[in-house]
Amino acid sequence: MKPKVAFFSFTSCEGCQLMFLNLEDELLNLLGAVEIVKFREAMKEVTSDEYDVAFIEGSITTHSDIERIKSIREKTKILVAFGACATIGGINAIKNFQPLEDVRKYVYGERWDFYDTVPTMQVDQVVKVDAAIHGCPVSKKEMLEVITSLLLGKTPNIPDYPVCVECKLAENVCVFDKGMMCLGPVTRAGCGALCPSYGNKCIGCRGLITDPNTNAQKDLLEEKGLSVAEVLKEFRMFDGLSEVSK
Amino acid sequence: MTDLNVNVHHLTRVEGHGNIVVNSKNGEIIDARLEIVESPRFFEAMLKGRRWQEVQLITSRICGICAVGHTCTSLQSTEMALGISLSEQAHLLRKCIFFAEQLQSHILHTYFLTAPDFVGAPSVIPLATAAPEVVKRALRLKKLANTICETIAGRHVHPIALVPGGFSRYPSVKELKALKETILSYSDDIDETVKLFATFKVPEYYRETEFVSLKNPSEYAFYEGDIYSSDTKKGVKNLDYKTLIKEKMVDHSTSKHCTATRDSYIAGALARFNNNYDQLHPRAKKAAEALKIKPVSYNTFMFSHAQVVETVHCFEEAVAYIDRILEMDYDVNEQPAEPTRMSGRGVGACEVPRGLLIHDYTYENGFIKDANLIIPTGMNLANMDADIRELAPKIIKEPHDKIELLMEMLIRAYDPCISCSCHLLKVEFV
Amino acid sequence: MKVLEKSRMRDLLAAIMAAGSRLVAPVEREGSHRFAWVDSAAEVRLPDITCDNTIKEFFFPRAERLLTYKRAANRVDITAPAVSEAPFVVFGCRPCDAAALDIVDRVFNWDSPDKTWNARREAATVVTIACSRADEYCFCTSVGLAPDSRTGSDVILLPLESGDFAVETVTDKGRAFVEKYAASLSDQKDTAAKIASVPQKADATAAAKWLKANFDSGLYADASERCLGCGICTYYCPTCHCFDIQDEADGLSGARLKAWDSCSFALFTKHTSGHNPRADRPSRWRQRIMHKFSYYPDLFGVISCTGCGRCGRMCPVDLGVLETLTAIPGEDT
Repeated sequence: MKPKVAFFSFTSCEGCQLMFLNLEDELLNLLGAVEIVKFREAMKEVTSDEYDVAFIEGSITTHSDIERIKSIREKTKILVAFGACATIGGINAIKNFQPLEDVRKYVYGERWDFYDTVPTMQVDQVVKVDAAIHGCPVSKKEMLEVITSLLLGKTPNIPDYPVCVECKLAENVCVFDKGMMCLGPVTRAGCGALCPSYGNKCIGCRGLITDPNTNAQKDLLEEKGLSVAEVLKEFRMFDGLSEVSK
Repeated sequence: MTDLNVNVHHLTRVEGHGNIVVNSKNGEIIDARLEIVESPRFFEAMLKGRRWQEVQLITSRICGICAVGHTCTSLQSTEMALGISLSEQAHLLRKCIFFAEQLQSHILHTYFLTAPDFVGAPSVIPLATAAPEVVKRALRLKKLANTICETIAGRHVHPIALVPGGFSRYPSVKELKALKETILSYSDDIDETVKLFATFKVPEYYRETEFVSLKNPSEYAFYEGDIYSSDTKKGVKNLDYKTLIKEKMVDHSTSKHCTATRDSYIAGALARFNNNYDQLHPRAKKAAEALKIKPVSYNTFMFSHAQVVETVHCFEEAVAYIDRILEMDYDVNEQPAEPTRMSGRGVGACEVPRGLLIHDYTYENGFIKDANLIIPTGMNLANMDADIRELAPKIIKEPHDKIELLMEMLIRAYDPCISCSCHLLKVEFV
Repeated sequence: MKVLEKSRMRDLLAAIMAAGSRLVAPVEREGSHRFAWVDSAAEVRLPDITCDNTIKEFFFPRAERLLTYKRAANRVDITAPAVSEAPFVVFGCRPCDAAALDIVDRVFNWDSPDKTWNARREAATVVTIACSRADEYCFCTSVGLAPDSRTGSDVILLPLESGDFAVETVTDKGRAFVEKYAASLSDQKDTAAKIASVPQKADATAAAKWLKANFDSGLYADASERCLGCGICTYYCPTCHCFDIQDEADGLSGARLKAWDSCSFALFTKHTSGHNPRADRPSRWRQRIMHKFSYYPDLFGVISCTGCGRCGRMCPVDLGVLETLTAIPGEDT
């Protein structure tokens, strides 16, 4: 029997689900190998309420999100955090650094208390996560690697080295040498250093590598001219939930 | 007569989370509304204190489908606020990637999200076996749009090379030439798309309303123009958007409604089509003829047909713009233009796939002090609600599942992008 | 003495390609120089020190297929790519680049000869340019080499005051090369080479003893405080040769790849059990230093470092092996 796969989205831009649909060349093959039982963004039908694999996009940011993710976990064998919002909180965690009441008042004015919100959490802060696909958005290559590995029952090969490696392999001039800031040295690779390859800096969307030397990275950014507050802001764009942003 | 209780919980095949509620008692509609249940995201608050170079990186993440639109509108606002003027090549290339996003989003919406309704399928997935050629064509066209975005800005979700003042990397002449050839090779798929949608039977529906979109004397406006209302027949400049578009609190609602000159208006492909029909590419006008859509169309169900017309237009214009870039003195090493001041206010206004998008920023010393965002789906919410109330009594005698389907089709027609508009949360249209 | 006139360098390169040989030479990209396969002599731009990347990738690719497999009904078909290699010329590398080939030869011919490495070494003719300039990162003289060392080269070009190069053959392969392309060379007398002077900054040969005696030195913690663990130094090192073997599979078919790895990464030594014998940065930095200056000389009789300076030059935080070498106390302390 084909494995039952479901997609769920929480607080996010739904861009990672779009990245799944963007697997134009592989999509029809994939649909032959799995049974997609729930994918609200693309499907009306729900053919099963139990899932072999559930892809969870988005952060947990409301009380109802917490209840919903717990209930999905109960029905799911392998739960995959899908994209930066789910794996590391992503940009949703920016709001955590302001008093939530201020945030709600600023955006919704006098009706602020109608808008439920809790500090942004990544999925594994609420339920057990079995696998993670990093990135904002996820990369097609890694998404396929994880999906095929799950189908084959093998451990996916997810990089745990920094973006610098792929950036050098892409033969880019170092972003620091161009006078820009970069989080590449402490950020998990797997994106092919796409941002530096297109002339931009690494913004840390894939989260930190295991055992990053964040102190050295902070020193480096300061040495390049950022204030301590600005250095923190760099990390807090995507990695707001990590130790380094505290 | 049995009492009716339609509750479409978490409407499918739309971007974001919404519930449609229609309740009747003794044959009378007592409650008809679209609830938005998306979690609030607080983007305006997240932008406060952010440096001008990184604002578009955050706003792009408002929506994965309109990532290019949000990025460009955000950049427009920053560039206006800080007195940055784009070079001609940057300007042309921005517009070009805009066409690609319309293409991507319209193909996704028409083929994947609305077409299943017209052929009685629950989603595109059963169509993959029932009509594989159609699904493969949809995937090809979607891929084409992604290829254009990848060539110009690295990727579609979320674009990389779009930065304040221009581009952090320009595609080479070789890449642009190859891109043009690639686009042209999909011309037959575009014709087939028009043919397919011409066979779909659209429900009869009419409700006179107002249409708001950009209008530009020199082109079918997507990237820039005045903010125009079909009621006033006049446009206002970006900075004056508040004189036309009002976000107001409604007594019986817990959320802001967007209105212009009356209680509700339509933004998006149908508004653009109705307001700017004359400026469509001739091939797009031909498509409109084949699709039997004429301005002014007051049938909300024709939204996807207007999108198909725009798909044809964007296809042609993308090629034309690449030609213009290739004909000019193109400098692949051009550096982004620099700000001329570090404080000020700017308003970006673009037609993204789902309609008019406004980003309004005030900068102080290079950091955002205030931000306000108005999202197309937010603009359409009041009109969706009005449409639900208009349609509900007319179809109340139909079987339950048909009411549900028509209601879903009605809301889906707008191509609502709810995760974008979630800062207009918990809309209660009672 | 044979001389390659500056103005005829492109003729020589064109002749090499016209003779059907492939060519690796320095090119310029975005203001920096790289060794790359070139299609025409016009692309070649010589930097005045060495290039950012090393020439090892033309012998030991970043990722290489060892085999591909396909599953059929009752069997698995395995195909291994052929190991034969068409001849190529590496032109314009520096003595520190060429010397590295000789160093890595030893490990790749140790317990089990690496067929692909050897095939490429066999196929390549290495034409080195001695250095007339060094930068603050260069330290070849600290590891027993010099700006005009011949090790690993088949031909060495010695820069002359005029900008021309004196041509000296080092190996038989080099002699054949000079004979083959004699038409692009001329004869000159008075060929005094202008060679850079590179001050000796440390004594790497003496360091081994201290390293063995001071395994628990605080030196490593000091250095690795700054280390970001990005792995750039290993990828840019001409002698680093560690690799990982990975399978890429899509169900019925797949490939086994050999890809560069780096001792800078936490994952490098992580066991399946979850235990990691080198779980912190100081122990990883120590491994890097010990491997180059103690274990490798013990096993193969040479230091696994050519003093090219890339580890410091390319490092985001300016941390190269030289910093640790110079921090090692001398004999008498």
